[in-house]
Amino acid sequence: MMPAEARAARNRFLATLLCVVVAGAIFPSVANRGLVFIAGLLWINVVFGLAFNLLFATGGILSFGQAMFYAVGAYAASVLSLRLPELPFLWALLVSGLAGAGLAVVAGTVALRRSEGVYFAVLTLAFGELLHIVITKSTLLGRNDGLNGIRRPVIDIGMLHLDFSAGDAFYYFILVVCAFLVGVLWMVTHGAFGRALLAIRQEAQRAEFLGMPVQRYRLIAFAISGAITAVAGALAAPWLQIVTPDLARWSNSTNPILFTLLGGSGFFWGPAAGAAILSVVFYTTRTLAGIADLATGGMLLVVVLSLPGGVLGLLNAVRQRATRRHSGTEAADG
Amino acid sequence: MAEILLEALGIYKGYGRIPVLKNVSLTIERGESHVVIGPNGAGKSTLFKVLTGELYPSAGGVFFEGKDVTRTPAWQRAQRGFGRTFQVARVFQHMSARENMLIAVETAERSRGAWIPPWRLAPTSALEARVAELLEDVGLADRAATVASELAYGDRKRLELGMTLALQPSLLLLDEPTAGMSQSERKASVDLIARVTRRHGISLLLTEHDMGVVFGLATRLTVLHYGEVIASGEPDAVREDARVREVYLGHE
Repeated sequence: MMPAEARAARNRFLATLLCVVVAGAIFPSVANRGLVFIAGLLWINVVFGLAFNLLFATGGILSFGQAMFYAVGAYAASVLSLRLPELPFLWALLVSGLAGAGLAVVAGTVALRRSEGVYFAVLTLAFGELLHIVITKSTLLGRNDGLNGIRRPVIDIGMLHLDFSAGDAFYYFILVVCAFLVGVLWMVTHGAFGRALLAIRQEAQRAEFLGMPVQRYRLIAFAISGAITAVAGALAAPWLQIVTPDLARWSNSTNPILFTLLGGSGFFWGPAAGAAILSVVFYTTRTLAGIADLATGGMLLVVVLSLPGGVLGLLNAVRQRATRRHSGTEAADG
Repeated sequence: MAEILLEALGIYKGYGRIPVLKNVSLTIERGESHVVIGPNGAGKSTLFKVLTGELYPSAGGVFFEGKDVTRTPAWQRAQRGFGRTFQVARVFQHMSARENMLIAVETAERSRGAWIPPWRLAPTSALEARVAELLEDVGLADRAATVASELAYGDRKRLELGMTLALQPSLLLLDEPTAGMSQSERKASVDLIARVTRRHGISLLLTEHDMGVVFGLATRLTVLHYGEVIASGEPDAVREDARVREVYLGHE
């Protein structure tokens, strides 16, 4: 009985992912280049938000330092692209991911000593700010000016020669890699490891007395989130073609939190929905300086105060009410 | 003399400057059902926490199967054969009874060195069968799909006991296993504990208030009073001990 249920859940996820990818693939043929640029960032932000929510919703860990992973990935890819242009880009992505995981292990080992909510959040925030300072003091990393002129890569895999340097071509690469990362996050969330994390979140001491190395599992979750976020950052570098120390700032760490609160942390796709909504807000208000922040703040207030389940929570409630009314009428008819 | 499974030697523990345990020593032999009793504030729960690894003693040692585990973290003790339940049952509230049991079974498998792919969505049929068997064992087969927070309190306690049994422990440590239960639930609970410990050859340490439970299960009784052991031995002998009668049983 259970495997069928699990298969159904997996198929539902794959169907959703496929719809998103198809929509994303069609998008450049109906939209202008400015919109395609924003869409590319959206896919990166979707991964950024989902990687945060793996920690938040599944692991019960509030990280306020996700920007450090994003920045580490972006800077690692940039430095490799500028200093070692002959290194294949897929290797650069891999190195970025490992850098993110390594940083997460270092920061997590220290911060998880005080894993109780706010202490952990503040310690991750401190690590992020520390990284920001290190970047602004490193000549290799371009100090306050950042690094620019990062080229979009050309990828050779065996017979396959893919040139992403021209036009929107790199957009498709972003789309494919992000879809893959979303798949990885879904498996981590819904597999045996995600189950264990959920158990720890609900009753850590019980999990520990069942023989679970609770702190180690939390650290692994942090490392996975760090690695995936860093790969997302590494994709952003050639897309933006410039990286600046601001990527490591706390303001960037608030982005995945915003996506998650807005979309609904209780849903796997919640942060993705939140990222999409904010992309639309930024695009429609792009000519009016300051309006985007105002709109974001206003929406966040509304969601936190009146829609604790986020936008997807609201949609879910509406759908449930509709089905109930539907079955209610049927019962009345019968 | 039977083999000693767990031994606590000269345990001291205090909170701040208030001493709670003073030179407490105790042994659990294999196959024994050892019950620790004592008035409120005697230090039963603290002793229990020191034995399970929730707290480390300020002095003294805890030895399991002859090895020093005084400062071994709780999760490692669980992997070595400690099974522990809490005074107020702790289960994963938002998961069904089946999912709760699955977590315990998967964790036990990992402790035994089995590799469970982290991305595996549904457990193998062998694990699924084990989950069903354990639920059956503690009489929760028909509650498998019920979310733990909606289970009756007695059922939640039995679920927790079943999850602990999934670890196939050699020593079961139960902190007031019948606290908060009605008289009939208590009886059923004692029967269940006696049945599973006998069937799987599990040794037992429990703290308890209810004298019916104590004398129904104990093969050895230790009385704690103000952080000190004042008597330990066969239940009937302890019952006749003058000091014990004075401080504890006399009030019942």
